[in-house]
Amino acid sequence: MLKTMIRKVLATMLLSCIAIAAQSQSPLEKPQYGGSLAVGTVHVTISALTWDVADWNWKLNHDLGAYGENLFAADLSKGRRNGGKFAFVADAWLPTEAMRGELAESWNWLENPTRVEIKLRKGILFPDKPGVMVSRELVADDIVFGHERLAKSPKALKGYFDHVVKVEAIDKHTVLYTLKGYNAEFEFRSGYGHYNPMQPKEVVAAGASSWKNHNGTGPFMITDHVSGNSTTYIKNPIYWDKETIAGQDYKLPYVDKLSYHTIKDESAQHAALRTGKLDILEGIRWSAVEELKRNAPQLKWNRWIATGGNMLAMRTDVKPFDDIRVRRALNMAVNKQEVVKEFYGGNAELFAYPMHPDFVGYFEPLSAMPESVKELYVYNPEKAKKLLAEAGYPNGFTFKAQVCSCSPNYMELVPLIAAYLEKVGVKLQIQPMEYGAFLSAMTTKTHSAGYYFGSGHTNPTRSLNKSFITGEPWNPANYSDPAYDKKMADAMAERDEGKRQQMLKEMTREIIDKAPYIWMPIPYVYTGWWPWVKNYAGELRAGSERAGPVYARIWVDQPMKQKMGFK
Amino acid sequence: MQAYILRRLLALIPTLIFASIIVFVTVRLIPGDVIDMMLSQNDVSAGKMDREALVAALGLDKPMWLQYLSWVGQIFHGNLGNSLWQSTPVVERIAERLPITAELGALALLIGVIIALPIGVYSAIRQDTVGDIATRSFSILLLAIPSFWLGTMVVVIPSIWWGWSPPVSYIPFHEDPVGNLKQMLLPAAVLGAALSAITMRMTRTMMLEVLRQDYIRTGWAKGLTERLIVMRHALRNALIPVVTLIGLQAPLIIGGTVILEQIFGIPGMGNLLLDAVNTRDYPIITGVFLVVGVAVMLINLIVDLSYGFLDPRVRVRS
Repeated sequence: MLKTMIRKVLATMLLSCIAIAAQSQSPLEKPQYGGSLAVGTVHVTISALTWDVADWNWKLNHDLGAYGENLFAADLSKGRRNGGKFAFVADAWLPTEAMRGELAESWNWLENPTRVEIKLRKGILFPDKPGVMVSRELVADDIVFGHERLAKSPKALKGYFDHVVKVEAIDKHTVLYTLKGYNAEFEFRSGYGHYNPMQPKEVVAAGASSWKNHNGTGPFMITDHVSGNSTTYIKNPIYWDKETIAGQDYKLPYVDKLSYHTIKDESAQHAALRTGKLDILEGIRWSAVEELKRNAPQLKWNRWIATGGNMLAMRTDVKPFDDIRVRRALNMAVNKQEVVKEFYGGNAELFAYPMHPDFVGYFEPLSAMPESVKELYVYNPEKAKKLLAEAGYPNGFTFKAQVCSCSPNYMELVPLIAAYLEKVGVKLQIQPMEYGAFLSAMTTKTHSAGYYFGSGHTNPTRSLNKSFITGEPWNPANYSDPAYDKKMADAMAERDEGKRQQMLKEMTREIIDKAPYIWMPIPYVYTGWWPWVKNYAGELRAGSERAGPVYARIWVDQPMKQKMGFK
Repeated sequence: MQAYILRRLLALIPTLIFASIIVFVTVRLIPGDVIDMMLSQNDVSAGKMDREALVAALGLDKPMWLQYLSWVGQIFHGNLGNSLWQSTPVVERIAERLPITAELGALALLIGVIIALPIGVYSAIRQDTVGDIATRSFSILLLAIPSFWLGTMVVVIPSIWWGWSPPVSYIPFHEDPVGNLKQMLLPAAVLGAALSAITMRMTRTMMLEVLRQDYIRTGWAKGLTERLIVMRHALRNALIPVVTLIGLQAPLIIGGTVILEQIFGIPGMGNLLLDAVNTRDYPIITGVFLVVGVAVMLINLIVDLSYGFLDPRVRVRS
């Protein structure tokens, strides 16, 4: 009897192992070259907004990142597809442990004054670009040129490079950044950030605003862009990087052609994935997943927590929200567990903002939070009423909340919040607004007392900085606490990452506790792909909004694709 | 005739100036300007200096009337300004998109007319028969179905039932005419379906009116065939209001393309306009409206001129 049980347990374990191995991409599978990869990225609805890095646009690294390399990128070998702990879904964050030099071969921090010495890889070549440039090696002057062009642009963000004193080329392959002091975001701002794709001077001379002039050292070369439809890249035959699988080196990229597709209509996105027109669709709303699983059961899936919080900002600079008791009361008045269960059908996390669970080392689960934080996530209308009475609002009050009509999700959530608040005597007047007007109200700080919005997690420091620091545009609660601002500045200047993690954890606890927002659950998002897409487990970014290196490591099992009836 | 055309063309100028002022001013007065959009796209604080520098860099620091005059001056040099986001010439952006929307619109119009005219004529000459009732019901159905719903169904249902969906990459006509027509046919049919309903009903109404005229009765009395009476004597006279209606449908087509281009991923003017409005890219918005305005006016001019071709009485009078 015991033997039989043991045998059954062992057999089950063995089968589970086989199933898990089959589920994850086997790194032992032999890569195949050729074929094409059609992707609907996380930004499938947005075509390239601009091509010139001097325009300082958030989406540059997305569209240029397949050919315009950064100093740093994700070490994708530490991703989940290889059994690693990093999901690489964060929109603009690379964990120190999983960051590698891309153009940089190595980098060292030096003191007195604070400097970063970056040694570039030797032999990285720009391919020939007829009419623009002849093939040549990437050198330190290119990095200096790129930095100066960004810093001197009329569209430059004030303060972004304030920590940089100068950038100089020491020799052909060494760049030296001299800084005013340590800045925790150095690698992000100068190395893998939104504005860092390498754009050589020849491209600028030919006209960087036109994609037709673009050239880079990355795995692909841009060959076509139809605004509002697609961007096409082909393999860079002289790309320098390789991948080692089972002890054997494979030159990258594997696919001959990569295309990003712009599809604005959600049903059309799903139809394109379902019919194999897209190999990968990266951002699928939870509400569409069951239907897709039913109609295309062979699709493979990765579930991730949205890389942005959504919440109702309460303007802390106006009554009644200048009183913390009111803000906490409104948090307790919303049944967040019910929202997770009934609104999202279980497809959401109660607690995943301002730190994203993938911010390894920075995120703490709700269970680790102090009781005063935990109670903000527990439905307690009685205590809410009590707090409102203590604050001088025993009969509640009325306030206006603006919401963007562009988001169906928010348009449904806000009336739900209004219904909860009404139960504690608080009336919410909802004002739907068109996207541009809605965003402008926040930027100019002319928004109403309530403002329902979504804000990207970005990275651990940015997440706290952008929404809780005095004067920041993405701080519609108008939260302002000089002591908190100083803590942020201190954390940014703290070199020891362990200490910095601790500081940011404490700041996270503090800000949640102060409740400038009604913290709402964060939904899951799904990435779907066909089984012929190999060496992939749903990684979304290898830098800020940059997926190019991920696609360079994907190969397409073309016989499998044909066997499944797709061309 | 030439003098008439010249008069009509000259009459377009004040209309265009008036329309351009309205578009130029209103787009800048709607809440949410391009500077706010640009400043809010980044995570890092943007202070007053950034705003001022950005306003100056984009040339928006000058008074609006001066901006307008400068824009009008550029038009005479064939320049509609540069996109505020991409710094690329608006003329280039429109030139990429205009032929696509024009093709979609023309195909939709063609499909609409091909459906509408025969059915409208049939419905009139077989008034109150089962065929007439069926076609009238069909036209009401087409009128009642919104294009965005029909478009969505046309994309979704075949993808579930037959594993087919429209191509996701745009195929330019000059690269692959057959592939391009295959790609455009479905959205054009969806757009054309709605247009055909109105045209079909108008054709039927006008045909009924004309078929009751004395000269038609004379034709019957002379023993002319039904085909001759309908095609030569009735339809030609009934077509004038129908052609007017088709001309008036031009703005509807452009409106319809905004939605259908999104559903079918067609990179036309509708998509461009929507993106420009969302990002407050003023030069693109005004440029698109100017081009669309000119196109609508020219289409109506062509429609007016076609009256003379259809009806000799108009030729004689003019």
